[in-house]
Amino acid sequence: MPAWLPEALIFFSLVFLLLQESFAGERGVTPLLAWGAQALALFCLPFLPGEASLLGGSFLLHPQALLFKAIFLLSALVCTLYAVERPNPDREGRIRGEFLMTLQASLLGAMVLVSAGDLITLLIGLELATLPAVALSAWARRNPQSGEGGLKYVLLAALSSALLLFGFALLIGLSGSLALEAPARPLPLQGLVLALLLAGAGFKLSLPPFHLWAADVYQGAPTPVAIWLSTASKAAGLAFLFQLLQGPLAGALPDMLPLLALLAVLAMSLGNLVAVLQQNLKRFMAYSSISQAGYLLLGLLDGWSDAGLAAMLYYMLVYVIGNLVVFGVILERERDCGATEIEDFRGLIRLRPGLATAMLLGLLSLAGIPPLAGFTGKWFLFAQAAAGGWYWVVLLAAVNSTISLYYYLRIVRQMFIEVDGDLPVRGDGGTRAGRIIAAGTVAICLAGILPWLYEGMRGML
Amino acid sequence: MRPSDPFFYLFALLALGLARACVCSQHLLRATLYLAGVLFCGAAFYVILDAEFLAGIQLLVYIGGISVLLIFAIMLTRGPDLLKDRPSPLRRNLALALSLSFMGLCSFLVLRTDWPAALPAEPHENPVRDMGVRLLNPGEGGLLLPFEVISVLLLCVAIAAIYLARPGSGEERPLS
Repeated sequence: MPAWLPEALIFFSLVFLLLQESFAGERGVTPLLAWGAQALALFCLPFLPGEASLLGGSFLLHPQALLFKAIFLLSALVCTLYAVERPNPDREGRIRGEFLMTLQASLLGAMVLVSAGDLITLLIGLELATLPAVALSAWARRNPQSGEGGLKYVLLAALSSALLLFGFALLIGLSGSLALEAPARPLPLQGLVLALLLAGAGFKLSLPPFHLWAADVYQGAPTPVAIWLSTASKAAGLAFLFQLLQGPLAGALPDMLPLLALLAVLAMSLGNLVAVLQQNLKRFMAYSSISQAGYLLLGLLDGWSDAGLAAMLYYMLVYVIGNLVVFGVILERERDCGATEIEDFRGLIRLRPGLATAMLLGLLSLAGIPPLAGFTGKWFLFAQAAAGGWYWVVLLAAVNSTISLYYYLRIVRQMFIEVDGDLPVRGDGGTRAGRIIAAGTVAICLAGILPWLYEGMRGML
Repeated sequence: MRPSDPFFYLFALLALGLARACVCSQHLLRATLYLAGVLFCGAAFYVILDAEFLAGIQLLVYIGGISVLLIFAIMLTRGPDLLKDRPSPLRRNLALALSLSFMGLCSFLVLRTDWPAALPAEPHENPVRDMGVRLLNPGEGGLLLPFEVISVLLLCVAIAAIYLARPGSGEERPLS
């Protein structure tokens, strides 16, 4: 099977969605065009060659890229299915082709980014992953918060692009090469280049101090878009960081470790402490995702190794599935009662027991409670940090996990304990979203106890 | 001292002054004009560096395209009275301190660095032709993939921008 097949599928689906939108009139587009292409591309991944180099090395395929593409396609598929599931109770309408097209574009950008073989392709891939996501976050035009979030996102995205371009310009100018590889001799100004590139990656991963956009954007964006931002977009940030660490920054990782440790601790602590105060669940998930990005960085603290890489990819996958489940429940509640405050989850176990159970397992996995997948993922990451001798970071990470348990359990308390008095609207429940949430919940439970997932990833790399 | 050096310093001073005026101007339209001036100085630097093609691109795209687009956007969106922005003293000083510290850091690093001799440049008979060939070259060192991907980017961003800017017709399906 040709190595470019998944990208081609997504690209053609994008074009067909655009054409269909132009001619479909009131009928609207067929969502199958979007999610069918994503599902097909996901299905193709295992049959692609393990190593390939196309277009003179601009497009590379390797196991790491395949794993990232699986994460991107999985998130995109679930986001699309959630988005086209059922309309709001009070607003009927048709599905807009532009929305699905823009989502496909962001997906295509992420896939190009992880397969990029030179600096220009890497940068364009990152922009193609980011800019459509910015537009998507402002998509709910009747909601002023969505516009506000979109504006903040576009301004900070422009700032991060400016820093990144400055870094790339210095890098290309000083090394005289577009290749995505370590410079032959140490560059002058290496520290500045490193700081600028790290700032760009930090923005995508929403690591403090580049996290300022996250909360407002997550809260204002339509929920399927918030899911996209918290899963695939974050994975794209990690992929970008990996590309840099295997490319231009390859020799610099040992010098960067104290900085990475500091960023990780800052992200975990700040995300957790602010999450405790939140009342809106989407905002809450934004801060939760900031702290999760901090845990992810622990995998780098033992230097660049296959074990660390596998630990980070495994945790990314686990985090993505956990977020897909939790956000799926949030979306269901939003469609049932039109709001996403923590209050609206009161007594959910009486109203929709299935959703409440899924939410419980999703949140506990994000908090890292055994035997769920989140625990296993965190365990591997902590082990990496400990292997590198960063015991104080591990200690702080463990303390942070405990704090996070407190705020995740706040929601569980609303759902399971506060069941008396007037309960919010029940809602009637979707069919497909419910099945996806159920599948995700099962995956969270199984991934924690079946060892072959992590072992398989480790073997692939 | 090369003969072009006085011009470099002249345009550098001009660029600095215009950039300051652009940032500090109370009026959006004037700021845009100052910005066009800064971009023009950029074109002048390219000429000084013997990169005439880039200078032409700078004039065409940035001054001819982007500045005009900005002016249109300003004129089409709001009345000139609303364009005044008065940042609070705290914000102003904070921004000043941040920019100065970034400038200080960069200058410190640039001055402290031991710069290598310039890389030997390959002679180009026709640099514009070489650039064009490279952009569409699918082989080694070619940039066909980013060239194609950027067209997808432009298409999608343009369509998304039209969707967001279009007056609402009320028939779309809200996603949440």
